[in-house]
Amino acid sequence: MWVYVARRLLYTIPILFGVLFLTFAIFEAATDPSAVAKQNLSDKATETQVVMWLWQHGYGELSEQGNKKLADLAQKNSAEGREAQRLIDNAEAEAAAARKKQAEEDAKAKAKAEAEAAARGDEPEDPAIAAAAAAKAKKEAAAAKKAAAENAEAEKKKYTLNVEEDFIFDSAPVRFGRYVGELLTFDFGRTLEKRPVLSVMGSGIWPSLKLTIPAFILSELLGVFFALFAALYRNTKIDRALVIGSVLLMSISPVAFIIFAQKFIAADWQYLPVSGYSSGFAGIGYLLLPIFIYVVVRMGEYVRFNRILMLDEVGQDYVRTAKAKGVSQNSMLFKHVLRNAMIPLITRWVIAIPYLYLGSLLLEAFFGIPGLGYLTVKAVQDTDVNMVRALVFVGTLLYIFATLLADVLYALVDPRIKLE
Amino acid sequence: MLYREAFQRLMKDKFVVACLIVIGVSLVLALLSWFPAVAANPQEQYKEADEITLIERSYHPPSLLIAIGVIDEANNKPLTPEQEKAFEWGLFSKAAWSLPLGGDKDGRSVLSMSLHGLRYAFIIGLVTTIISVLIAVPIGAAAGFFGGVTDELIVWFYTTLVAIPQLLLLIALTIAMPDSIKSDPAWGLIAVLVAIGITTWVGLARLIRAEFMKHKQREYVQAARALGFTNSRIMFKHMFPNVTHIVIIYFTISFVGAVNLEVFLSFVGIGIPATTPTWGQMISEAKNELTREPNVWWPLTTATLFLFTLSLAFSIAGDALRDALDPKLRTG
Repeated sequence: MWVYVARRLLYTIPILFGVLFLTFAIFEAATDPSAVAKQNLSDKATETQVVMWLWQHGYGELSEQGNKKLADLAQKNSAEGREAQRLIDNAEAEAAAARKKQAEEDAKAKAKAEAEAAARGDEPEDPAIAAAAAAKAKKEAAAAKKAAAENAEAEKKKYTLNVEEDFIFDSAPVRFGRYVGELLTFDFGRTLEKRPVLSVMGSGIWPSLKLTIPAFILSELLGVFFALFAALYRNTKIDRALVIGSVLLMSISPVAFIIFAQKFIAADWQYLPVSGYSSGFAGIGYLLLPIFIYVVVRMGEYVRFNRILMLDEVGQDYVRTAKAKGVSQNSMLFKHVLRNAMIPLITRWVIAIPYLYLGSLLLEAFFGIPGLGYLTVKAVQDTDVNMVRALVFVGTLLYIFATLLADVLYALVDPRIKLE
Repeated sequence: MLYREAFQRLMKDKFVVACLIVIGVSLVLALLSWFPAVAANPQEQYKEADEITLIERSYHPPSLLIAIGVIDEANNKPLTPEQEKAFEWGLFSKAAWSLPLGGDKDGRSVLSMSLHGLRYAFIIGLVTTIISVLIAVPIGAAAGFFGGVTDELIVWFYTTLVAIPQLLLLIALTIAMPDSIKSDPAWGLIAVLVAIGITTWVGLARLIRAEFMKHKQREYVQAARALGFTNSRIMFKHMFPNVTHIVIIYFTISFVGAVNLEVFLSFVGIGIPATTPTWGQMISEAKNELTREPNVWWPLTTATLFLFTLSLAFSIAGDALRDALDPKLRTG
């Protein structure tokens, strides 16, 4: 048998690889690395900061141009760079002052010349010419100013790194390798609120389990109980009533039922609290209504499915033999029928385990229970890629191992199956 | 032969016949929603003066129930005897039928919205199921028929797909959709339907693969091969008719599942553009309205009842179909 287990374990490796590849493809389409950088830094990160973050986290390499800019930037920010900058600034200031002084002197000289010309009685200059000269001077000044501004822009651009020109992203296989590495080491990054995803998920597991485990146990027990009932009273009105009841229950939309139950039981009649959660034993009150709703919503399908299982068994020859042998009703039901019907049931129970961890999205959202289901809904509504990525991975991992466990258990429990 | 026999057996059960009639009527009603009289858009619909003005339409209680006298227009409670005497709305007056099942938040008639929701329910159920079937049948058939490496590859492929819990895969696909598609009413809906189809086809593919593997050993397939028919002709002309009953049964199950899934998705806010008048949107809008005073129960109740009736009809019909078409249950 251990050979079988080992072989199945080996088979999960290509499955896991396939899942990682599939989710990688989906999330590649969804994420823009700059947005990821901003999510991890802050929303107002400058372009240079984004590029530096991408570089530091191994998203790729700087291009030649980027490297040059980095060197320039480093030099500018180093001590000598700053000193040099100071000298340049001083020189510029002096030049500007000199120009201004020159302009003033020019204006003074011009005014003096005009005064002399007026004193000599020359005709004043044609205003049009003067205006043209003035306009020309103004245009030159504007052009000079624009040139100066462009120079400043270019200077600034020389020192800012941007993603398009200065960064070369890693190729897809390298990205995939990094993706796989991160997930397999459970390094999930941070949520939109900058908390580590791993700890957020960890804190959400227990509330989910507190809701789903009792609900699951209760609903399965009741499902089996009613199914046995149906098998005992098969072909009577009770059986028919059970069938009709289960089909009716199955047709109710879960969302609508939650809304109605929450309104009537909690808000109107106030038997149970509307929503909320508290850890520890006292928090049970908050969970009663969600558990009740879960059980009712699932009951229809469970009873129907289990009833079919039981009736299949009851139709078999060994039951007839047992009855002819004189086995009592009770013993037959529990020892024979139930045991044999258990086989597919156990498989179903084991496969349900991953869903127990992931929580019930609807119930947790409606009742404010801070479990994994609630986190999933929030992550979707906020488009928090890191969170969704982590949840999908963990869910898949759980499911893969649950199916492995189910297969092995199935073989163990059913003596007809021999594992090779 | 199978179908005629199955049909005869189906028709014997009156319950099932009732369900099939319900489904047929629903189809007709859904088609009705294309008439302008049943528009979901208040501006188009209520241009002329009406018994109830547009402002009063918002949250108006069901006028049919007011006409019958069950609830009082102003206070939403049963009428007192004095009020009954003063009551003037006849059962067939225009006022009684202006907002027969009430008005919702924006003044639209709940009846119109429900019929539109019915139409979208059919669209959603049919399109997702058709997409699933179109993907599942060729893949399942190829895996079952060819066997060997093809089979291994295909099984590996759909096992990885199934390993991701359906909801999470849907969520991942929705996040990957660009915003331009998500907000567009037509393409957004189609994208979500395609996503649902992608996440649900594996069950059917497994069944079809098993059937094809069983039938591959049968004599008629060997004969067809000996006669030199091409593989695709054998698969689709000879073998496929033997699995159509599986596809039909799958149709009924998948339809209900898809409609319920849409309700869930609308509530959580994934994918479906918020302006499409589906039952899911009605229910998720109504959720917040139940707790106000006076409480507005008619959009939620109407949508729930329509949804319940359709689900029930399909479930019962599906069960009956399965019993009728299952070859193992046929006697003689």
